[in-house]
Amino acid sequence: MPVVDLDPGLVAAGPAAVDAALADRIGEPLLVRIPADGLAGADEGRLRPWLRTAPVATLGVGEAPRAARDALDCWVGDAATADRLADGFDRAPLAALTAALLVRAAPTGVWPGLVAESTAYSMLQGGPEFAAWRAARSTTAPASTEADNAPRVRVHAEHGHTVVTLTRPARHNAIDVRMRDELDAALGALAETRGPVILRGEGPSWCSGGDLGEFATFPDPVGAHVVRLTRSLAGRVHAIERRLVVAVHGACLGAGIELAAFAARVVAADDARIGLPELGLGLVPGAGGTVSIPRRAGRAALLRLLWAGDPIDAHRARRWGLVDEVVPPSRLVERSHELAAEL
Amino acid sequence: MANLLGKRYVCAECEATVLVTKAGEGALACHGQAMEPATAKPLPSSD
Repeated sequence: MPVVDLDPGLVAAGPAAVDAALADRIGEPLLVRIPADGLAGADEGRLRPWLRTAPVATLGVGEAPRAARDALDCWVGDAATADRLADGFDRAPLAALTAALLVRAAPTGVWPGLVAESTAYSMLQGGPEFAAWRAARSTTAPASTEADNAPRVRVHAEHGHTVVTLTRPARHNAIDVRMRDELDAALGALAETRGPVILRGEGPSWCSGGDLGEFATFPDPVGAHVVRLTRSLAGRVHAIERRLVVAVHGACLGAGIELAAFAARVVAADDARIGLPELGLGLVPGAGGTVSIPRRAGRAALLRLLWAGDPIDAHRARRWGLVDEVVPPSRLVERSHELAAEL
Repeated sequence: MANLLGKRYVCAECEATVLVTKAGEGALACHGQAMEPATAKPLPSSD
């Protein structure tokens, strides 16, 4: 396991003692668990620079004041949750650590954050964990052969608001290249308009994220970086975020929550399942999630969602700040218009 | 149909392309037919 549990006394003794304890494992993509009672006895001034520059992910366990928790990459209250996150981290330690280092050193501003995220994502596209996922998949799930030519996005006016609807319900509005390009064009045109915009999904789900059938079809990781920033849905959503309401229901995974989290208001139906499955592919979020989710809910929430891998329900997402409101599915459309009118 | 700022319109007959730098009402026509909004250059998947 790429997990090291630090003894409380060791943490209290300071950075040199911690480094000595990690000496045999350093160079590996590690998750270091730090007990709250160890932090309580530590000299914070000496430990803080270590926590900021450590090339390992740090997870605090137990009760501690806010300032102490914020100095670590992630924090959970109990050992059982810490074990679950450690198991999740173990699925793809390189990607899990990359995400922690990325959001810890997050540059100021959305665009610099998107560039940094895309760089990390492309790096992982060339790494062993993504290659392992790709190799395992090729024998079980062939790429999608779907050839329907139906539009992926519809734009219309409703109650005085502009509504953009994802229209690929049979695939839970998974984002393929066609949807990416149609949504990019639709949101790009809306950047020139005024007034509230509502984003929502047709069918059983808002958006299940990137279309897995098209994963690993990028030409090369470095070229993919350029394409990703050229057709950046995160950039498009960010440009209109202050007048944007996103209504989510059903699957709200990967890019589904990453894009939604930029919006001024996010309203969720109580059937929404919100998660970041990227680690299962040896990747990090690539649709702006490392910018939008920490901005809404903090970097610990981003890492907790990513490392765990399991989706959370709408009520928990509201407690974390990922969504603003939870309503019954029958109220979702109406409530999204009410919120848009208040913007 | 209003012309959208920043959009390119192309003629289906010839190679004429118009870039809208100031949005407004009206219709763009060339060779006796309405010009169509140009679609974005196709780019591959980045995933």
